[in-house]
Amino acid sequence: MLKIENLKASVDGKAILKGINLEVRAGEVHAIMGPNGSGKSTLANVLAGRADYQVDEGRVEFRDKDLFEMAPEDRAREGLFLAFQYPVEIPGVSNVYFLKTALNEKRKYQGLEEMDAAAFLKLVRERMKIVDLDKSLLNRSVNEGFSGGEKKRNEIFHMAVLEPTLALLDETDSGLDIDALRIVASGVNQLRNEKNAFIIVTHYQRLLEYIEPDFVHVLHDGRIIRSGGKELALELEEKGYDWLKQGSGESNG
Amino acid sequence: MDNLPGLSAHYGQILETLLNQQDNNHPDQSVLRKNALQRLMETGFPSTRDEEWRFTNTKILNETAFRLADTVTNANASQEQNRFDNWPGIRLVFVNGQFMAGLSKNMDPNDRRLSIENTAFIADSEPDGFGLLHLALQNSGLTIRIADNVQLSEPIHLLFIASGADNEMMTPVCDINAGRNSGLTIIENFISSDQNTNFTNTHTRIRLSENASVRHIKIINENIRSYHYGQLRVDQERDSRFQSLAFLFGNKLNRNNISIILNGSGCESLMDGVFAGHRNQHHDVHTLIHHASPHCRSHELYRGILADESSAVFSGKIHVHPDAQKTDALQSNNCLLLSDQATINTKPQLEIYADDVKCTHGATVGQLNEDQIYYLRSRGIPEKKARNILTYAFAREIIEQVETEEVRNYIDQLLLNRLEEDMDFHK
Ligand SMILES: Nc1ncnc2c1ncn2[C@@H]1O[C@H](COP(=O)(O)OP(=O)(O)O)[C@@H](O)[C@H]1O
Ligand SMILES: [Mg+2]
Repeated sequence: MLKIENLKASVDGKAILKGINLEVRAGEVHAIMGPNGSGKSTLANVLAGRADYQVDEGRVEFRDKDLFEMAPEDRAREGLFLAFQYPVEIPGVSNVYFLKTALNEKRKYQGLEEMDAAAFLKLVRERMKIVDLDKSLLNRSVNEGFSGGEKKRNEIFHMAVLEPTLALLDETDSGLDIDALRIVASGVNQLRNEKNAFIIVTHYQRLLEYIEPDFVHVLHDGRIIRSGGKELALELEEKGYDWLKQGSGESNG
Repeated sequence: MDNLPGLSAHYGQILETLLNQQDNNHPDQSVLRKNALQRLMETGFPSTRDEEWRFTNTKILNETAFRLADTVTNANASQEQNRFDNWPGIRLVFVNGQFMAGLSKNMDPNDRRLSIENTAFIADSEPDGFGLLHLALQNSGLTIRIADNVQLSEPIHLLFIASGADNEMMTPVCDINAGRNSGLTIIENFISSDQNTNFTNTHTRIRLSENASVRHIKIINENIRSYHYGQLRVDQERDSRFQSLAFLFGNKLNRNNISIILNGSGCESLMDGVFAGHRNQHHDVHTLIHHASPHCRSHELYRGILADESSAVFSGKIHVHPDAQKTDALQSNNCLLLSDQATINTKPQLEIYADDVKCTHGATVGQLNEDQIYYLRSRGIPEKKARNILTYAFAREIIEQVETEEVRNYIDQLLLNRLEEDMDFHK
């Protein structure tokens, strides 16, 4: 469903992604690991369509369409979802209104009828349980004054309602205590099925104890320097990134 | 004033006609009116050389020989009010600045809680040319008195329908007196029934006795060719609470002066508003709050949304008198510029003559936040809608303060119409 070929991207003329190759098929969970500053968030945001990143080379196909031909909202309505590393606060816009608008925009795009208030509320109640979201967060302004953990849970809650085909989770585990981490992981596991796929960007292997990836990729200096199965994460845990950094140049993803 | 010779005779004649019509007036009134006109002739209308008018060019108003609008109502005008039928409470309708008892609703002359008389005359005004013009030519007005200890749970809705011919002026007056421990909400709602170039020149005075609580909501949605000059002057006695909410959408040019005097200790005064400009509209909000007594609190928040080539002026003055210790005054103005051609001039002014006070002010001017737009879009919301949601959210904090649901929905709709957006924000 996603095919990234030789993707190069830069910010303000500074090259950050230096040739990424990656293919993700339905039903798969990919983990992308790597040290700070290696380009993980850049990759996630280039895929989601953030304007400050310049795509210099390469192409990305998403569900047989050219991803870079699509506006960010169309990528989302095609089924892409990015859980932000730093979710944005939006004062004055209630969380539930935002979500309902997003869901109905997606439904309109898919040629479905808008969901009415009752059906929406039922869906919301059901999906809140998945991440054990506090009810009071529904009517508050999006992310405003949420704790770090609440923001991350809220991202997963949005994901659970929007039911993306491909979800990118950008360090959703960072800053979470072990209980919150378990809740987030179990949320992902409940949503996981043979029709969707996940790319889980993480700095730590901890999350992968709870979400079992099919593939692990190591991103370093804008390149995937190593790909493997879930055992790669364990190896990294033992040996650290330095073990891979030496002499590695090409991706084999 | 360059062209006053012609205008002076013109307005002098209107005044004569007015005095002849109103034989039941107090004789002092004709002296006050004539003096005001005399002062206007001497000082002239404002110019951009005046500090208080630097960024608002009133040349067109200064030079037009406005006539007082005819009292005859047209069918259009009386139909306009139907869309406010779902608003609760008393409705008092003015057409072309004239109070029309026959069009009004839920007025009960036997209601002992309040009195409404069609006799208002306010003997002083803002010192500028339009204030003086209003003082001289003020026309029909209401004196509303709320008895001591009365809490009116439903608002009093003053609906001003402008339906005059081109270059006609309306000069209504409202004199509102809230008794001790009383409470009320008063809504002044200005609309047009057509696209003519009318000039609404209005003066509202509110006096709050001890421990009274008054909320004043002003909504302007007059047509985009019209002009509006409004004075709101508020006098607060001790422990009273006043809130002014202003929602300014209409007019080619409007100027709203609000001045509040806190005459007793323990007063609270809130002044919030939204002005939304598009095309070539110009909004001018001038507020002045006199902290003349200790232990009072004032809080002011104005938000502006300016699109296209619209412009606006916000000037907020806080004057803390020497014995007004323990004053707590806060003022802020935020403006959202939705186009490169839109302009705002914002000027906070603090004049503090007491030493033990807390006064803060802040002003921001900016565009919509790109991170927020991206976040909304990345969840599937199209760009234009994302911008509109954020623009609406910017004003929402102020709109939400309107307690009466029907009124709040109306204001919501005015903003959404402006954004050309069909949103159901509250569900
Ligand atoms: N908006 C930006 N402007 C300038 N530099 C950026 C921006 N975003 C990322 N970078 C730089 O790109 C590199 C990769 O950042 P990022 O993708 O956030 O890494 P990671 O998510 O792996 O920690 C870093 O050197 C970072 O400083
Ligand atoms: Mg990152």
